[in-house]
Amino acid sequence: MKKSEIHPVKLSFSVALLSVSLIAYQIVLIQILSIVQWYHFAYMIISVAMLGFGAAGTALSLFKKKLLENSEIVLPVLIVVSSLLMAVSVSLSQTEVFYFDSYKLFADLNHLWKLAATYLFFLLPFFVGALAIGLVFVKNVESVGVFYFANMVGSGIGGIAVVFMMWFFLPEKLPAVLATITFFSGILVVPKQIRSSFTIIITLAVAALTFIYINSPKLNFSEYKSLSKALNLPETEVIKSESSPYGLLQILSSGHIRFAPGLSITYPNQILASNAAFNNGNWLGTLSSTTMDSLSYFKYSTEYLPYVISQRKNVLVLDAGTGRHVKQALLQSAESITAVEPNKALIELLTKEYSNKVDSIYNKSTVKIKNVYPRTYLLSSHSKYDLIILPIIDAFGGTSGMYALQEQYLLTENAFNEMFSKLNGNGVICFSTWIDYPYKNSLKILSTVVEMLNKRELENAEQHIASIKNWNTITFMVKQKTFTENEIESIRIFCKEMKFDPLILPNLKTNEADYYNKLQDKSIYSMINQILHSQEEREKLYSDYQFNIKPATDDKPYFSQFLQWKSIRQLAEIFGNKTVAFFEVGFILLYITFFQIIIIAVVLLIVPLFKIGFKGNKKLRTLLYFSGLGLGYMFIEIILIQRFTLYFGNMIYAAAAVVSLMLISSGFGSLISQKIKAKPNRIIVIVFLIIIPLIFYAIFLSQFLKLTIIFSLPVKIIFTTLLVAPPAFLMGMPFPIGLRRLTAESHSSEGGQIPWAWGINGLFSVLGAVIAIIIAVDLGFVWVMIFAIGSYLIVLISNLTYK
Amino acid sequence: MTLIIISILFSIINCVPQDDKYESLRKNMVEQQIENRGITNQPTLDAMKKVPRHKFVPPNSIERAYNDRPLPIGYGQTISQPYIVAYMTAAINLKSGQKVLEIGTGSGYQAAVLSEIVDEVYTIEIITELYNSSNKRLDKLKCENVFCRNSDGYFGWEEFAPFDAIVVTAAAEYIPPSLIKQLKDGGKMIIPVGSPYLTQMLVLVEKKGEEIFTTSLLPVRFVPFTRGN
Repeated sequence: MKKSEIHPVKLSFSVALLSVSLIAYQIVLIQILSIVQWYHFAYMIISVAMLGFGAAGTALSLFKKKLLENSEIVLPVLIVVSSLLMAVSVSLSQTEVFYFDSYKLFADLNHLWKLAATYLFFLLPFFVGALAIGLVFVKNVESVGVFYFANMVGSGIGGIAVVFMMWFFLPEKLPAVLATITFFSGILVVPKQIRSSFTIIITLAVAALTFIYINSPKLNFSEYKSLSKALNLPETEVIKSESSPYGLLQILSSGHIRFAPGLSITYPNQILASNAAFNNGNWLGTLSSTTMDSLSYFKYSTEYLPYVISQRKNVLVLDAGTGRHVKQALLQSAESITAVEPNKALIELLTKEYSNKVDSIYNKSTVKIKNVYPRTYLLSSHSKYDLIILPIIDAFGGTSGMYALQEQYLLTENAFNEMFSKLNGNGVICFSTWIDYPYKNSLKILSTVVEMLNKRELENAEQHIASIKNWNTITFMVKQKTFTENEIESIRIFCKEMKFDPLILPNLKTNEADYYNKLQDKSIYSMINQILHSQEEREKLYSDYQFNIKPATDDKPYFSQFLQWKSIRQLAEIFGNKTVAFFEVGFILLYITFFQIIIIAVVLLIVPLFKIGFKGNKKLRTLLYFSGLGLGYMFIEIILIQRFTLYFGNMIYAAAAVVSLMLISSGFGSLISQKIKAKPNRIIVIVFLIIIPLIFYAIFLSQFLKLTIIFSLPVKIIFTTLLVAPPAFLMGMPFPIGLRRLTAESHSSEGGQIPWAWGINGLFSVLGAVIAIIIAVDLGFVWVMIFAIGSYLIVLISNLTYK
Repeated sequence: MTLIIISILFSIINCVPQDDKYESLRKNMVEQQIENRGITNQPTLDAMKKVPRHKFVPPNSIERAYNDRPLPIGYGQTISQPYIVAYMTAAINLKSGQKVLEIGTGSGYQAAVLSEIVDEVYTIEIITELYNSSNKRLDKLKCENVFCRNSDGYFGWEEFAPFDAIVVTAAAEYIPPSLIKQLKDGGKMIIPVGSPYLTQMLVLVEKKGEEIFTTSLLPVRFVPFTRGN
């Protein structure tokens, strides 16, 4: 076998560049699919697309000889093809022929074929790109550690670089930008003797990439997204689009959008129309461009409840968004308002260009903006407040479980505990929810608060909660102290004037909750009583009710995950088979994704065995070793992203930092591993050294991060590096050592297993991402870490079988 | 001669069974989808039996017009499932001689059903294209007691207020104050709440003197429309 004639440094650089663009492309696709569809559809599609890595392993196993024989030509061609595929995939997926709508997947067969086409479009660039990387590995297996280093470092840089690119390019432009990077990676490995004939290809490719960049596809939003529905209104148009890692922020100008949740039917005036903001096509809020008087309706809404019983001087607004609650607090003469909003792009817009469109609320001296996640602020701040207000829970009309798998750290028992600790003597937490049916949100949020109060061992926990409802909204108020007689009376008077009903109030009279706004299904009243009554009653309700209404916790932060397997049949009977999927699309999709990957992975793993043979227990060892590495690495990556999101107060940056830090550290581990002999006992020591910090993570990581969250950003970065880099450094070693081990046995059948092993690692990495979420939803994040330890134990055990 | 006979035969075959076909589909729709689900309000049942629903759907949906599902009519809007139209009409218990306001004309089907029961139907559509097509359709079907307007339904139709009943066909986050004002004392309003993808609760609003009461009725099942059905 001829060695590569391209200089190893040049080749490494090419691998690194290709890795930069492949990982960046993956993130861009998630972003684009989250914009046109929803995050979980994006996740499902990308998981399948990432199987391209595994498929490349299979292809290498099958065609290794031919590919190696012609590698000098094949390598640049593969990279250039990958580049062109990157450039055209998104455009193709957005054409009328192939565009699929996720909501129609469960109802229209045509959309299944379109989805299959989308899978293929997005799988191909990864497949071809990964085939190029795999070819480099297989051809240079003795120095695989160096190229694996280039691959890991490139991926790490790609993860960070794309986050910054998102500030400068609209999402639809990014595929062409990344395709250009890939293209240059290909140019680097064109052999001298054919460079002249490559000139034409280069010229054509540059022309094609430029054309695609200029004519980037128009992103077609699902017709079911809030933005699409708003755009159906006359004289409504997008007047501003801004890209950032937080998503695609769009401002709509409209003379017909009027937003007044919880409004009383006694309100005598008109609600003024206003512009509105959307992020990734999802509703963010209105931008009221008129004077503060436009909020006069506020006194007629259920959200006015906390002001009914007392004035609120210090107000904390969590997830402040376009500032509706900030405005309300200003209207009520609050002296100090802290607005916590993580979306930097939105805050930039509302404090600068659109400042006057929102009455400059975020520029007022009484308003302090905190650009972090609300939980991070709660954990790191020591201030006390008269009122802590949360955004309205769920979207109007429900999201059909679209966010079932989205971590919502603001709605966990732990979050409410922190909020409660930040209340002044008469302070209250206030939040509202739409009345959904079957009843879910209101029951779950109530059980979360009640469990929190009980754990604080407050006597008469139910005396700390008040709640009122109108025809479609419930507003809750949780008070530090118990409600006084005067306060209870004020709430009753307010309800009578506004035609609201008190839903939870000390000494509530019979039928008082169902007077002005009657519910035909009155079971909600008895379920509320059960939640308030006792731990025993709550437990009974949790187990009897068809939906999961147990409180969400930081370990299982899935507030919107209501569906349970046991309830599916019952729901199908009530609402019909076709409707069940819509109860919680996110939950259903997770399992669909899982089974899709399993089926594809099994096929991709078995096919190479026809070539390299089924027999020999060493195959089982290879399977265990490389699958354990793939699963373990991914489990740890996911749990670290989860833990550090709260720590840094920003998921995008936390994810980019953790992933990049891990990959770069692993890259260096891989480089150093070149000096370690590929012997089983060495691997056992390394894996053992990996497991030790993982046990530490499982037991102490959360507590350590909570203790150090108050430190400044540079100090937190140092802590993060110290926590993540050492184990990641070690985690980069077993893979190249394992490949070299297989090569060392090249005279036996195992030498042919290298591409197969590489494929196994790729397939199980994708599978690991999905399994991690399933474990987190069902058992909690702590168990993901336990499974990670288990995966590395499998790697350890597989090495014990070496003689 | 042969050609004439064939064309006569063809026109007979083509004409009579078509009318029969839709009439029987309509009858079937009322019996299976509406009466079977407990709606007994006679004026509603009669109106649903009479209004040719297939004339309110786009040409490519005619064969599915009497299916138990909503159908797309363009501009992100649908013609409601027959059961929802019947449920909303029955819930406000209309009588002859009354005046009704409808917010969201859409295809014009709900307005046509209402016009079979009451004396005057005032209907407002915000999307100009839908207003044009429904207005034309209602004229063609000689629904002379239906008055259409192209404007924002949020403000109601003050000129002809007060109304005995108001039917709001699009889910709303709050009930517009102008609509409450334009409702007669003793009048009823029906309005859907909830996800158009899943279940919708219909809310009945009743004005009794100075007091206003709402009742959230049981959810109405939604079936996502499909190209194949």
